[in-house]
Amino acid sequence: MYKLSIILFCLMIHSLYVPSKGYLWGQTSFSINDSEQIELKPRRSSSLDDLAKMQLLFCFQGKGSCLPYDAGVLHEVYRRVPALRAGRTIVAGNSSGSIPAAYFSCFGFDDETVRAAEQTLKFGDRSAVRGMESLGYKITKVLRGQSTELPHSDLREYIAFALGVSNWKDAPTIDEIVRRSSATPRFPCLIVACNQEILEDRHPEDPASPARLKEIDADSLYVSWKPEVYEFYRSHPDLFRRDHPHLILGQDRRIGRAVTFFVDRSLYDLLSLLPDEERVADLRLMSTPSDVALAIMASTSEPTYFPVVRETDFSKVHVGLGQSLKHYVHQRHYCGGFLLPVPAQDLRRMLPGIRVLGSGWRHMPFIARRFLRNALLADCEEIAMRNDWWADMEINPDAEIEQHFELHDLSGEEEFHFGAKRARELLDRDQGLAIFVKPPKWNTAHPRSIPPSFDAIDSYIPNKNEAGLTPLKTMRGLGPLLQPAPKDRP
Amino acid sequence: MSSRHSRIDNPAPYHFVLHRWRDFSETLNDSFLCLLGLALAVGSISVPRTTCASDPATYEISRSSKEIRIAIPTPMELSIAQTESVLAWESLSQKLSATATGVVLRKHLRFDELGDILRQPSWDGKWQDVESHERALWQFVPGTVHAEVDRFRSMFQRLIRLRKLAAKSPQDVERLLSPLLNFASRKTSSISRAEEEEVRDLYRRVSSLLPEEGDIHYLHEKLSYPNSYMFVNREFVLRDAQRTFTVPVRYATQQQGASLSMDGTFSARISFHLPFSNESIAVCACVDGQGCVSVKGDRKRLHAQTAIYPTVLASQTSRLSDYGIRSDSPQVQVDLRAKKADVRFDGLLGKLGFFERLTGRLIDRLISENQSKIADQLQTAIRTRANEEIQDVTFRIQSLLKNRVWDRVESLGFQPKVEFISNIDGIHCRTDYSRLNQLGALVSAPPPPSDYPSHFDSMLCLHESTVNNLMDLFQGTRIDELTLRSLVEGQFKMTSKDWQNAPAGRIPSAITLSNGEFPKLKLSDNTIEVVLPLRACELDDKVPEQADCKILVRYKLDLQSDHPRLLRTHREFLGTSSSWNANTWTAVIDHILPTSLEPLQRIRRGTEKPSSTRHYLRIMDGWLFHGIGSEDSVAKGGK
Repeated sequence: MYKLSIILFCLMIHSLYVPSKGYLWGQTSFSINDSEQIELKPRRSSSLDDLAKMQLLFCFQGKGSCLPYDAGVLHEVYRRVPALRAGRTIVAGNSSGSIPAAYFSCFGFDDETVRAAEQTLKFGDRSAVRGMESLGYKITKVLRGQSTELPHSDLREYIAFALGVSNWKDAPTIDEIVRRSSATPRFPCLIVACNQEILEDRHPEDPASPARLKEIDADSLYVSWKPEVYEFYRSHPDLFRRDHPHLILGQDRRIGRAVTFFVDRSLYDLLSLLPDEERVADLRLMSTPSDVALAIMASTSEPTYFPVVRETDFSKVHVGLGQSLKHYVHQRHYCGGFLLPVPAQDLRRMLPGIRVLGSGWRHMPFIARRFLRNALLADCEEIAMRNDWWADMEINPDAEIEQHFELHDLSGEEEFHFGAKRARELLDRDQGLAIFVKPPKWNTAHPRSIPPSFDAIDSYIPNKNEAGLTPLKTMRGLGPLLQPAPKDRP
Repeated sequence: MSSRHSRIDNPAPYHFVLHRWRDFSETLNDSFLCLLGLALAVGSISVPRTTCASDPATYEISRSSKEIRIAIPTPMELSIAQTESVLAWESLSQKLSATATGVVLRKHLRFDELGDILRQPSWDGKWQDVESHERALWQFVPGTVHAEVDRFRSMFQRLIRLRKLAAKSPQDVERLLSPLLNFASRKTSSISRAEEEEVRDLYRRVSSLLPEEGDIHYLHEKLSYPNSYMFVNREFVLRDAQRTFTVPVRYATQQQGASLSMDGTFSARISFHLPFSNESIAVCACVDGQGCVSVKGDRKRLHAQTAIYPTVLASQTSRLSDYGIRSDSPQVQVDLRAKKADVRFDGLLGKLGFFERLTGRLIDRLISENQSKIADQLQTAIRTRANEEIQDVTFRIQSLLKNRVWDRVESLGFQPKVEFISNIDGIHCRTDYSRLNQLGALVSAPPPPSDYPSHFDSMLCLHESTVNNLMDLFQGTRIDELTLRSLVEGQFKMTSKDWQNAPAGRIPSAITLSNGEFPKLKLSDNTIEVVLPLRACELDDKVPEQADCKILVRYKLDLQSDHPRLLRTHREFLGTSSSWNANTWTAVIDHILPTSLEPLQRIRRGTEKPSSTRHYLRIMDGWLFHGIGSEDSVAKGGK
């Protein structure tokens, strides 16, 4: 983090990020299908009933290139939590965590898939990302006014893994990998990506500074124009078009939601039942291999890591509020999933019986936090604290592991063992929470929620809140989901 | 290391730099996000000698080379200054109204209200409001409009000073100035706490009266010493300063029916030096190396073979100054020495000596014509490599300095005047973190305490004024536990056992600092004393508790443990009201200000065994010394 602070401070000064370049890099060869503006209608499907048996939301929380750590966590969780092999687990992911999330959504949890995932996450070639994360590289690039983003093709191995394509080496592009895949999301899955046009608030004359034109509501994640800015643009529509070519000035101050959830059909239907004002994200349906690949690229496109990714099919995005996406934006780009490390609020409100497990999150140092806030409006730590409220357990790295992450001095194998060791430690105690949390505004089950089909104990707090509703209980540990440690543990 | 403790006799001319406070503070509080521009445009000025005239209309201070003239402004001058300010306000107002970012800034600055204030003929009873507007203008304004904001602020400040001066008599000014100039003319290595307070207070008042910025700069230069000093050991900087690398050399061509191929490697060694300098930190890279390239030429039945032995000498210099890093282009000199070619001619002609010599010359000519290609390849490769290596080392130096000094204050947007020195001990960076209406240290930094391990890698010497000068930025700021911890751990590399043992899943407590008063730090006798004026606190999910109070906290340096620790020895609430809830405030303060603080231990994984960082911490006479060394450096130093 020490080095990261320096890097990111330099980023602030020297304006690493060039939006136009970012967009150029972000071009993929997907064609845009916005001629057909038919929005998918949410429907109550039989898959919704299947969700009643779900016991666990397993969030793969991105930690840059530290995928082997998650493999270690997965290894231990799979041994200790039967809900995984029983198919009673929803997977979620943000940033690099979107890779295992997408994989398990397509192939589910069993001995073979878990072993394959461990191998890839442990030994996959992460050298490009590691190189890009290194201090010297970033500073050199920054001082030369160059961007540090890597091409998405550097993720070919991981996207091929998520899509079940074993012969990926001769596939020069991600399109080709997608073409070779027949994988589709078969198990409930949610992948987080931030909406670039909605969040971006850089100053037009100094990209390292904020323009301060927008406001974000930390509970609903709705972004709006400041009142004076909205009035200004209403009376200067030509300036609005010049300043924000991808946005549409609406009838009120609202610009749109900061985040999109890439979801499978079952979660798409489930989360569509939440009132639009209370759901924290737009929904984007994943039904094809290209949707899954897009979700991974969208979630990994963190600032300085990968270029933004352009939405290819507006008709698969559910915005709600009686509008489709085209009423809000002319174009949509995704810029990584950094904002929601535990995307559990909506799911827990609709499935009150589930428990929430995170694979571990690295919190932002102050400078990085400021950098992101200046560029992309949201204070990610403020929002992360509201996320962490929902986690029953997070396998967060301890101080020693954090140092190793920072120094990049662990091999994949070593990092795997650190992840497994940390998971064992916290699972044995059935305790592992973020240091700081903040209560969210909506902390009760929604009336249209699906009650669990199993005996879910301690889902609610006994006392009702001021509105007479019963808040959901959180930060409980994994409790009944956890089986005793196997005796054959190493 | 002695040079850094002495006064700069011939100070380098100040650069005309626009120093601005970068706006970072919205997280902390929107209101304090001021970016201060210190437009320093002062030439070298000789040592002042004070004499005060007592003309009722004009107050003069004669000096050997320059005079400060402080004229009590006439009504006409005041009127002109007011008109100029209003015109500047109107011009800026128009500019701000033309863009969305300008509209936001207008609102943030309460610009219309400021316009009303400017039009008023007198500010009696409204000075607090005026100063609040002035402070609000010290904020970073990105883009082209910043010049306009600077211009307006300058006019507004001049009007403020003139109006303040108009209310004074020459005797009042004399009473303020004389002690200051007397102090400036004294050579002193120590100062009492009371005298220091007095000088700072006088300077603050005088700087708000002098209408000419040049005069304030003059006073500032005479009174203020660098208050932050960073030293990095030469050995530490030049660790791993010798590197070797290999460049492949390959070339093939077809000419006049002959084919020529060259193949070989070139091995070079790059070493770094730090030339002595009083103005910048220069890093000089020298490359020397040699190689062997085998050459083969074939033309029908003619076969030739030889070798070229290239040698290279190259150098490049990179300079780090407060402007950034400037690198010269590398100077590369390549010499090629070719062995005489061995020529073989298949068939009968090959047995004729003169024929062999003739063809040999032809081949030699062909080779020499193409030698330049080898030289070009080497030039390019060495140039690129030297450039990369030198940048790597320069960035390392820059990051060392930045990590320790700049990052902490620059993260609040402060871009101070920086002096670099490179000498036999190592590299030094000294900085005066003060604005024009503030002073840095009033005496030069004392030498490090006698028990300071000189073999340590780096040392930061910080005067309390560095922190105190920034504190007015924090008025009204809300600070929560998360922000404070990430600052302390991330920027200051300190941590607390309290934090490690605290229960997880907790709502962070928060305090809000007062608007009118600023926090204050005192450093003395291995003790840190902090006074925080507060106006609210938040505990758990409860409604924030509002109350004006002050908290005095004292930390004592514990030298008994292996690693220096700061232990909280005193916590006292001052000036609390009757409705004040002691339990809540105590709990919040205990969350925010831990009972102990110690340097964060970093385990460095070396090639053979991990080593941890060693810290040295001492506090005396307003200065804090913090040294860092690895176990390796400690071992080298014999401890």
